[in-house]
Amino acid sequence: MKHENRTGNRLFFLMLCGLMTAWLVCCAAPALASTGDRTVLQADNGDGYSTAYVQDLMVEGRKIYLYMTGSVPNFRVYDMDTGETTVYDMTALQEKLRDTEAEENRTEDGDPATMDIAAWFDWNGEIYAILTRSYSRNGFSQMEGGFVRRLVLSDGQMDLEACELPRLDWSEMLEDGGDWTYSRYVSDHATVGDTLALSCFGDNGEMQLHLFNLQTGETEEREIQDLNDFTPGPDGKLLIARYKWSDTPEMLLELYDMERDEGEPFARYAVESGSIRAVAYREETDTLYFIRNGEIFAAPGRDLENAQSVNDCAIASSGVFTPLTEDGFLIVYGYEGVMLRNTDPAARGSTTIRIRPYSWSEGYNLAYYAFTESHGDIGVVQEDYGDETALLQAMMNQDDRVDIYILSSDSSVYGAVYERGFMGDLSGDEKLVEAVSQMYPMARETASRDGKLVAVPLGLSGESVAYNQKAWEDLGLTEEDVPRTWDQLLDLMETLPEKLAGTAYRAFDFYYTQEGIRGELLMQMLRNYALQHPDESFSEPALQRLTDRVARIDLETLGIFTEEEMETAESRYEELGGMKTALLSINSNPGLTIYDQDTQCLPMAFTAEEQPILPVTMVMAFMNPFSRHPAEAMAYLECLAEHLDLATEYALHEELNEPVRYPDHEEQRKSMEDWLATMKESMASGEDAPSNIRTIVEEIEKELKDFDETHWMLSPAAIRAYRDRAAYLVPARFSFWSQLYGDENGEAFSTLWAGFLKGQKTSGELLSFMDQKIRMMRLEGN
Amino acid sequence: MYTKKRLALPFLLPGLAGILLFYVVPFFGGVWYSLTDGSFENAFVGFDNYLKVWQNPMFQLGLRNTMELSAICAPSLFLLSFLLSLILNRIRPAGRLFRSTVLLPYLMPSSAVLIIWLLWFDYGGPVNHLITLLGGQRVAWLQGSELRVPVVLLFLWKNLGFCVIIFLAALQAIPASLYEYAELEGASFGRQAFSITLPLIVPSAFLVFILSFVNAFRIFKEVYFIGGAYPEEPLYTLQNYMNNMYGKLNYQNVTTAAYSFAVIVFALFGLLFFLQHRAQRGLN
Amino acid sequence: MRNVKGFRLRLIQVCLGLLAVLLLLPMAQTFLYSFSSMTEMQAFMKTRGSYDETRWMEAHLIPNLVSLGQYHQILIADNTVLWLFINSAMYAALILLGQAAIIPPLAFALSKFRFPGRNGLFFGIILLMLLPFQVTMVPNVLTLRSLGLIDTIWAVVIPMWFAPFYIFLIRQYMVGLPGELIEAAEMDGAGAMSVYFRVILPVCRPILGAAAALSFAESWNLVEQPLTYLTTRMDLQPLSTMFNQLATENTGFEFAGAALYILPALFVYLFFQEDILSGIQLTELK
Repeated sequence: MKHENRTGNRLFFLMLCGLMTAWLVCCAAPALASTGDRTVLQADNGDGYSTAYVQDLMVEGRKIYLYMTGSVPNFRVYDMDTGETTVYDMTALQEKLRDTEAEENRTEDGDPATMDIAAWFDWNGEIYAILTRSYSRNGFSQMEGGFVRRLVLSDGQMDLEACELPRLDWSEMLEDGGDWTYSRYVSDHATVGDTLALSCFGDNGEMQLHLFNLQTGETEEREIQDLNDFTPGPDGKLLIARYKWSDTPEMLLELYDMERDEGEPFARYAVESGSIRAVAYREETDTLYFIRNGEIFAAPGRDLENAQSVNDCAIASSGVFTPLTEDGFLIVYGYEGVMLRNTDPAARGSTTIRIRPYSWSEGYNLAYYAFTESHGDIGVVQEDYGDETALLQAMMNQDDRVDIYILSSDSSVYGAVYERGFMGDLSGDEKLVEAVSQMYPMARETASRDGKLVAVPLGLSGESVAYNQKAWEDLGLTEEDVPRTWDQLLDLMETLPEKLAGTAYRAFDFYYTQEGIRGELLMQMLRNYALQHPDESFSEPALQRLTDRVARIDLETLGIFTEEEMETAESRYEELGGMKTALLSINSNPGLTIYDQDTQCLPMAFTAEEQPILPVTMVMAFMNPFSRHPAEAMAYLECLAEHLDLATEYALHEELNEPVRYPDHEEQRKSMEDWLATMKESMASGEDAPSNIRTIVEEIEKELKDFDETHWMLSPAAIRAYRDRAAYLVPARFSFWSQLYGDENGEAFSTLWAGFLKGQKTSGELLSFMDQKIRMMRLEGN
Repeated sequence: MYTKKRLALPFLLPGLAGILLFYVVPFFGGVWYSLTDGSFENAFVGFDNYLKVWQNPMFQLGLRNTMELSAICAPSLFLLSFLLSLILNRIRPAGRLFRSTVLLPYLMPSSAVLIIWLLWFDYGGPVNHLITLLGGQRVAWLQGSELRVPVVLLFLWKNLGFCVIIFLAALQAIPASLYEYAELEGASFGRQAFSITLPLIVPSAFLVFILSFVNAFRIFKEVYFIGGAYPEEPLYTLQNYMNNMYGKLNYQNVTTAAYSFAVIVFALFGLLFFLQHRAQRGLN
Repeated sequence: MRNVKGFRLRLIQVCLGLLAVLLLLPMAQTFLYSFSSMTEMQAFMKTRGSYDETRWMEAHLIPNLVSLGQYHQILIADNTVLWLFINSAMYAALILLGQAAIIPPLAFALSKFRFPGRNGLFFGIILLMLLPFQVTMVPNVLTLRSLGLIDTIWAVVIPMWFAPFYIFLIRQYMVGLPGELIEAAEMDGAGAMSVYFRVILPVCRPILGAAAALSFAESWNLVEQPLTYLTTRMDLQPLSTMFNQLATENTGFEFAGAALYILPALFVYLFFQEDILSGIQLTELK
């Protein structure tokens, strides 16, 4: 008995040990399998409203220094060993730089001035800022620059202190804008030895290279054609990437000798299969790193022929930079975030899925980060945009390279893929089925085929005529007056000169030309016609009459200029009432957007009996049926469906009606209140002309009073208006215009279209041309 | 003539393997393709595709236009080249230079000279100028069914030479002694042409005829360069249909249309072959 | 048959001369226009399609100002056209080399050997020759893909090595060769291989030249194959697929491009002219 008990105990102990080990292994496994890839910072929250951007990044030792701008600028230091970020506040420094009274800000002649940070750079283990100084002289805003200060970080505060480096000759960086001077925007920097290289855009739009000698402060400007990117290269040279534009664009990689102003090309690369961006170079191994098509490539010996993909780039936006760390990690950063990526292909996740977007939606990046957080062992490559028709070929070739495609629902390619069923079946994925089943019926229908779920809607947008609700009411127009048919809209436009006379409103925004309005109206009308009357000819007398009406509508008396007149009218913007609010807008988005104004989109019909519509296109993600990683691809699609951008989420889900504030709503209000307080203070002290300040104070008070009412990312009114029009939304399944413009006859059509808008061609000619082509297309069928 | 089978193998095998792989297998693969539904699942649907395609008005239009264009192009090419070669054969040494010139366009890339064609046939171009000088009216050559004229002329320009050469070779292969003998017999020129020239060149004529048709079917390249994917109705050929279907990812309709067309072509040629045999036997 | 002589000959010669000029005019005009300045050509080409009853195109034959601007643009300033040209040359060369190795032996076997199924085989080749490209296009893509050739130059090149038309052309010529040629060689103890290389190939020189010229013209003019088989490799496209695009964009250098495009074909023609004239003998189908 006892013996047995001991065995039992032992067994129990063994089991416990086993469990412990299993648990340890489970915990440690991700760490063991870890690629070392890390997210240092994610600045983009995916709703299109960011409060902080990565402005600059420097690496010194094991630390990454981030200069963040946005509503609260600050400095962040990321320790690569501990993975911790320390934030250093910039408020005090900013106040110091802005203080016109401060002695150190004054010019040599003693003028009061403010300082701005124009650029950062790292040199010999320290971080430095280059400052510019703005002051006013004889009523002109002046600027001087090139003051170098060393960064000091302590107690959660950042500061700049004077240092031994000489003042840099900043004269070449200053641009004379007539009655004011400004400093060029520095887009990139690199330090090689004692030379600081800064790039900025010149007047001609070309990127320029400025070289500063950090010992003497001397500068030289170098014109390097098609300069695209640069990074410290071998032997104290600069490694330069040049982008040559042509029908077959190519990249040239050169070693640039800064002393001799000589470039020595070592590789050329046809851009066809994705542009090379963000070059980085590691001298110890003579390896060139670059990003292409969403992946990090390493080219040992700077030999592009032997470049090998080593990791995914992890940042979806195109504007990325890639400094290297000492231990061979690449820091990939763009405005939206900072990532540490391993460049050792052996450490790469076992599976990599590829996403090829042909259409854009806000939510991508959100899903992307969420997925890489939750599925660290799966690499995700977001490829560059490309030619849609390549997708058709890929399907025909049963190409399994890409796992997920993202397309616009109205593209002919989507139509073809959908029609033929070249979309992976997602019905087996309960989460996806569940997510899509909660969306509007129009979204569900667009995403399903033969009762199977085949795609995930990611966005919804369109173009329609709209009116400004407030203006509508102010002009005494009622619900009754809202046009429902094209004839009614044109009728309304005819009565507008009378209605608008002497009011604070104009018919359309100032910058719309007669040609623009006519063209846009006509396009929308014909597009709707094609959707609503798919089986009818364009040459129907009723449509021809309407087309003629649009062509003849009197826009002159509505104060709209022709393209020709606009050239001279622009300078008289105010005198001509350009700042008046427009009653009508010609291309409002019937989908839901943040910053939505008080606009009401107009569902349109051709007759009073017909159901009016608002055409929209949807962004759809679907799985390649030939994908070799269907499970991973579906997991990614789930992630996409879960992380829709805010506006799309609301636009697709009827039950979401809670209005949404800006994330920094409170800060915004507080800064306004602070401003009000300062203004009131200065009014009390009576230093300035009081009447001037009083109006400002009144304005702020007024705005503050309505602040909570009016400051919404998604306001209750915008959501309500969208719910009201949702019943009229019709997802377009073909793009009439890309079909008309999109091939060898496109040229003929655009000439005809322009000719019609100029009155040289008749509506009959235009419509019969369209008829012929569209009819042929329809008759051919799918 | 070698009769040992084994001897032929080294000559035959590499070529046959390639033909099998790149022509015969795809040919039968295509047959299967045209019998499936063309979706991702690729289910077998029998002759549904054929029924659907044959009922499609654009396929019908394309087929009709292709046939019409070929019916214009091939016979005019045939007659023109026959006539020219007869003339050239009779002025033998003097026609040398011309013989070389007429062949040149056959080797020229037609898209390179297409711009010239478009210039010539412009509403204000030299062709219309010539017409008005001769007392006619300007014609809008690049619109509607008139567009067929430049297309046909481009075809003739390009293919004339090759056909002339084939005819000429056949004519020259006829031994002069036959004519001399006939002349001694007192046969007239017409009689000579009918009972000596014609029977002897029938095989070549047959080939020229077939080649003109084959080339006429391939006229699409030129049409596409002028009119795009959706040209005006008179110029919409079967290749337009197939190309556009390809663009719509509908490979089933592409192959179905292609096979339908191939069947018609083979039937046509089979008929011609039969007629040629009959004719030749009759003439002999 | 008597030859025409005297006045009638002169008349016929004048008519044929006129026709020849007309046939050569498009090429001549292309070359002449290629020496116009780019701005002049752009302005001129822009007027296309804008003429009405009152105006005529000023169809001058000689450029106003002789300029090498167009050539400078395509050869020196922007070498896009030059690269396409090099691609085209590469395709033509690879196709011709492969055809030279494969087609004449096959034609030899089909004409000078007797084996069961020979006639059926030949008939099959004729059928394939008549087949439109689209018939085998789709399945061919699948074949080429499983061979891993899609998106490589070989997808365009290899199928062309077996082009039925040239088999037919050369076979027809070889059928006409007298049997004594082979018999005499066999008497001297030559095997089939040495007969092929020592006897058949030399006497077939005209048709081989002719076939080479015709095949070159076809390879130089490839459109469908590169577009279907090389969809993701725009850098591998030949001049023929891109030419139309270049020409319709009113770049101003379309004529120099066309001249460059025509030139190799012209040289090949001049080189093989005699072969074509004497080689193409399509004897009876048997």
